[in-house]
Amino acid sequence: MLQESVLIEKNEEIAPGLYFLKIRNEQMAGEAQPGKFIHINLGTIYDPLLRRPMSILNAQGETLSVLYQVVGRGTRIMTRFRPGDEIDVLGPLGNGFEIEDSGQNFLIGGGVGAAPLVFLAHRLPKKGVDNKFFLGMRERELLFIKDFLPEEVEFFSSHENSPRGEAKQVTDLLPPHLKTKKKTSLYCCGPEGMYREIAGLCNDCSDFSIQVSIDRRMGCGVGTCLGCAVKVKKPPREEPQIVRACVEGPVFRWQEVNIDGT
Amino acid sequence: MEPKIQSRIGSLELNNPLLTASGTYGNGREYSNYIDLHCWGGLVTKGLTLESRSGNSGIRIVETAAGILNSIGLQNPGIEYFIKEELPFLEKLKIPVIVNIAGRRIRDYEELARRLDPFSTVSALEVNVSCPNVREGGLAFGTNPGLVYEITARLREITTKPLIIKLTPNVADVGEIAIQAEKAGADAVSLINTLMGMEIDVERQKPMLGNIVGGLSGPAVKPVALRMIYQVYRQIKIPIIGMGGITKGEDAVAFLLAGARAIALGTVNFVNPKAPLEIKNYLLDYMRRHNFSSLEEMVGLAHRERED
Ligand SMILES: Cc1cc2nc3c(=O)[nH]c(=O)nc-3n(C[C@H](O)[C@H](O)[C@H](O)COP(=O)(O)OP(=O)(O)OC[C@H]3O[C@@H](n4cnc5c(N)ncnc54)[C@H](O)[C@@H]3O)c2cc1C
Ligand SMILES: Cc1cc2nc3c(=O)[nH]c(=O)nc-3n(C[C@H](O)[C@H](O)[C@H](O)COP(=O)(O)O)c2cc1C
Ligand code: FES
Repeated sequence: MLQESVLIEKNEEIAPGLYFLKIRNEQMAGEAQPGKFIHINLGTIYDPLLRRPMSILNAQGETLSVLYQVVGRGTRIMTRFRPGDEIDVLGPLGNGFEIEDSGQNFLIGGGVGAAPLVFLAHRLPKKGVDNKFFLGMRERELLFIKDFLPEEVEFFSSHENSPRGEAKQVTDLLPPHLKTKKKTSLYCCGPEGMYREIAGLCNDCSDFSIQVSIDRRMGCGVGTCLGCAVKVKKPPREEPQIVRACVEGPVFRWQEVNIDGT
Repeated sequence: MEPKIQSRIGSLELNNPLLTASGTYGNGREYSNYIDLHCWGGLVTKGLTLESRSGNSGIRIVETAAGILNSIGLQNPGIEYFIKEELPFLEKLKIPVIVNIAGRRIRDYEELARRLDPFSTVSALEVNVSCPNVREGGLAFGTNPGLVYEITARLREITTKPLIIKLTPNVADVGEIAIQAEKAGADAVSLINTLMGMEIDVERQKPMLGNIVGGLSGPAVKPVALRMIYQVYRQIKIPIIGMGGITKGEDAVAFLLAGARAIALGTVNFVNPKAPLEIKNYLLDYMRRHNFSSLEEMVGLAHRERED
């Protein structure tokens, strides 16, 4: 974990409203793990005030990248970052995905939430395992993500793999793949409603584990402001407890966050 | 010669006037990865209650123009956990630790003070009578001068540790409350806590915060905080710990000139964990430029004009 002034290598619009940002910092790149995030100071000196959390899309050697969608003031300001500029970044922060020893790995992303799963795809074991990537999107804007994936990962998208247009959401793609006896790990990143649907589809599948990344508005990003509270239930404790998305998360086990068991 | 930036709050001696603002720094542990905690004059801990509290639900932090609204709701693990798990860490730091306490009833404050009193690691108590984020919480006390007097007087009987009463800006006359705290035996007052506010999500047509209202902090509140400190300085003799929107060296100096003897940094930590270092360097440089040899010479200097 560092607070560093880092050099921008690239900041390009790769699809409408979607930007690829690459920064250089060896130690940060070294500590990066799928599911962790960085906290970016917009450099606006106090308006907008807060840093912006962004998941790590990939990290190699001395560089680290994120994929961001322009949704508001802060991300619009980020589009003005130029190669050669320095920005103040905190990170890598949080608790990422735990790579499990499974026969199959399903990476399930909704929209730009798929970013950390790209990184995960690169870190999964390659031999004797089926790795599948499912991407949900409204338009075709995110299809380029396929180009970021390692070759051996099978790719499905609600756009491409739905010739008659019946698959509107990523969850529409899953059912045929769930009929399996192999131990399967699901790694999910998207809206919470998507997690609920996925869990519903997996109801009868016994040897499935589900990890999800929980999105919360963040203040500090390091665990002090308690703004990013997530209610979890961790056996053997009966009582739910409040933990921090930025430290104990953003990645959690679905059973832990789904406390009402629905 | 190096200017002296030591400060003193009652019997509490600080190496420098910079404190953490309660609730914005945890108990220091998290930031020890980014910064040497010894750069602080003292650490003020997250609001502590007798029992653990899980805080408010829904969205708790919303960014506003040059500030944030928060409605954390005093989430904390309770005093028992604090004594067992947090105090040992704080003890090792060898930095003055000011424990911020909050309660629903006067009895809660008394009990907290009683249980913290034996620990030498607890250098002082900051009494939060001003949290806008819990319904039965301190704010009901903090807006009532009589109750502030009573709480302070009762705690004064329980502890000899320096007592700092944390005041809310959500009142018509903050000076009146400060006067009552002083009369009842407080060693200092700290101000300001957050300003009550709200934000509405116009697309969803609903309040943004789960708790509907929250407390505003950050640069947006600085002029309000500064005015209150300036005003209260003229009304009481005990030291003032100033806070509210400090983000840079100039702000810190302005608070000292308005009459604060120490200053606390809150929201800025979220944006720039290195702020205390930068502010300390600015302060030293400022003092050299203006030939101040000690902090004492600066405190309240902005009042000079009117006295002339
Ligand atoms: C752990 C984590 C990882 C993320 N990873 C990515 C990523 O890889 N790519 C990407 O495009 N986006 C990601 N997001 C969401 C991203 O942080 C927000 O879209 C961004 O902060 C919006 O800022 P803005 O100023 O443009 O929008 P505004 O709506 O103007 O922002 C106002 C405030 O709300 C906060 N906010 C708004 N939307 C979100 C949101 N969805 N989640 C959290 N805070 C929000 C902002 O940070 C800011 O404080 C991630 C969020 C989290 C918590
Ligand atoms: C997230 C957050 C949590 C806070 N929690 C507490 C608290 O527990 N007790 C307290 O007395 N003040 C609390 N405060 C108020 C701050 O200590 C401080 O008075 C206020 O934020 C103004 O300073 P700032 O603008 O530098 O943040 C909190 C403020 C924030 C932003
Ligand atoms: S963002 Fe501050 S505790 Fe998580």
